[in-house]
Amino acid sequence: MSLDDPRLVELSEAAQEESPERRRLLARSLAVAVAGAVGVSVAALFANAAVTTALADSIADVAILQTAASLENLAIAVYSNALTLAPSINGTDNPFVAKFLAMTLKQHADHLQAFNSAAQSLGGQPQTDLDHTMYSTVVTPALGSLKRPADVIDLVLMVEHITAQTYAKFAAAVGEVAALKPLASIAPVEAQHAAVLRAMQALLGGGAPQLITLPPDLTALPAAAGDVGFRQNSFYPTSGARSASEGTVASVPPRASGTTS
Amino acid sequence: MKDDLQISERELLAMTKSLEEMHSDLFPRVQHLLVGVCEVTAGQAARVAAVSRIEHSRRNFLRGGLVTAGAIGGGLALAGCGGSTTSNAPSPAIANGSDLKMARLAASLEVLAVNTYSSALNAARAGKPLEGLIPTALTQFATTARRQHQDHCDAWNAMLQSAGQVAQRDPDPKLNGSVQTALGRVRDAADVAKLVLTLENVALQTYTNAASVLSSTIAREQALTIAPVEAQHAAILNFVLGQYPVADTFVPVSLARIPSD
Repeated sequence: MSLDDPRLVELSEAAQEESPERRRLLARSLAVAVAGAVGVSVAALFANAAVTTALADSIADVAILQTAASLENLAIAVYSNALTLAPSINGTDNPFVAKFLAMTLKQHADHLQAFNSAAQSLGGQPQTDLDHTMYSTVVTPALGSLKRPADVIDLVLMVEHITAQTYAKFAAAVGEVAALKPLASIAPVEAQHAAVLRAMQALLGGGAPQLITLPPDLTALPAAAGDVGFRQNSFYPTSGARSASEGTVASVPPRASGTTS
Repeated sequence: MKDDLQISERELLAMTKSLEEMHSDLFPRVQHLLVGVCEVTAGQAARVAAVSRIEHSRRNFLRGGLVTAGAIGGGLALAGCGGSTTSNAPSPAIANGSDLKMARLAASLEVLAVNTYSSALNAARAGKPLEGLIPTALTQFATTARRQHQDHCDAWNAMLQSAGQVAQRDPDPKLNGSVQTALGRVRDAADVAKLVLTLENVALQTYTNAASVLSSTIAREQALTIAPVEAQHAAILNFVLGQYPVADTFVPVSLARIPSD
């Protein structure tokens, strides 16, 4: 069989029309076919169920990592927009709130880089767009009601809680260690963001914004401040996790007008 | 009949509180088990779907006639396919021997945490060395954290017992001695917070590291949904100590305990 063989040409053309992951699969098939021309047992190769499973793992894991990256892009967009609001709205006249929003934005940028690096290490493309499904259903409805710091905290808390749940669920589903490690080491960090935001939310709601400070005045903190950040669950829930497919590079639709990244 | 059911508002409130406590104690564990069962099924379905997509590609490939291409050299073909050598997909099966060793280690860390929080709370009681020195917010924190660690311990012990093993009732022997020594030196709230922060970080990092080595879906999910809760405990403790609550962008694993330690 030569490289001009119609079957190879057909296969190559098909690869151009497929999704990135499918293209990668077909490209590998093409490489194997060429190897076959010099005497490699293709049948033996494809009879190997373990290889098939590993490849499926890799493809599914790339999609999961891209969706995770799309959530980080969304978080970056939300925090960036929050930081552009007036201090009376985003609460940054409080030094701790200002530091928290800025530090958390930077941490999400680092998370984005980690997910994209992992996706690329598995042969996928980096995700540079945000999760538009979550943006339109979760973020957009809240944007119109950002009138005070508690509103901003409610919004970013929602984002953090969803991302923590999503990564915990994704980490349990992936097959590649390269995918598992960033998910497992980032999910708890998003949960920490959520815990701190819940405590801030409670102190704002209780009319005690002055207690949001480092170091805290422990004698003045109400008892409930001690556990409000985490008392809801002994096991972090995953029922609010996003779909693994909604942020893949292939499935992200063109940017809708009115959203920013 | 109506008279038989009459109760005072006070009694009703007491009964309601009692019911809430029962619910709070029992429901997380039941919910965790149910969610685990559902998500294992969903995770399996996703993986089966991914494998099915690959199998479909393989059939198309074979229909192209390329099965005739080669005869020998399976090793070269495998290299060309790039099947992952770092795949660590969780098995849906019940935890194996290695997972059970990790479950026992995890349970021993949880016993240590429960015991340490109990000792600290006892020391803060009337007539005890720390009476009046532990702020109410920290007492509330310790009470809830202890309950959650007990829930975690129960979950790991349930896994051990379902495999026919005895439950782990003793604290981690490697850490217990130094913790007891530290408890004897505790003089104020900061000392308590520093001690339990160390335990929370060890547990968090142990679970984060374990996620990469646990082979059963149930054990991995358990570690991945406990780790964020330990991380939240650590965030609040850092805040109590006047330290930035989310200092790590990624959870490190340098403090992680492993069964062979």
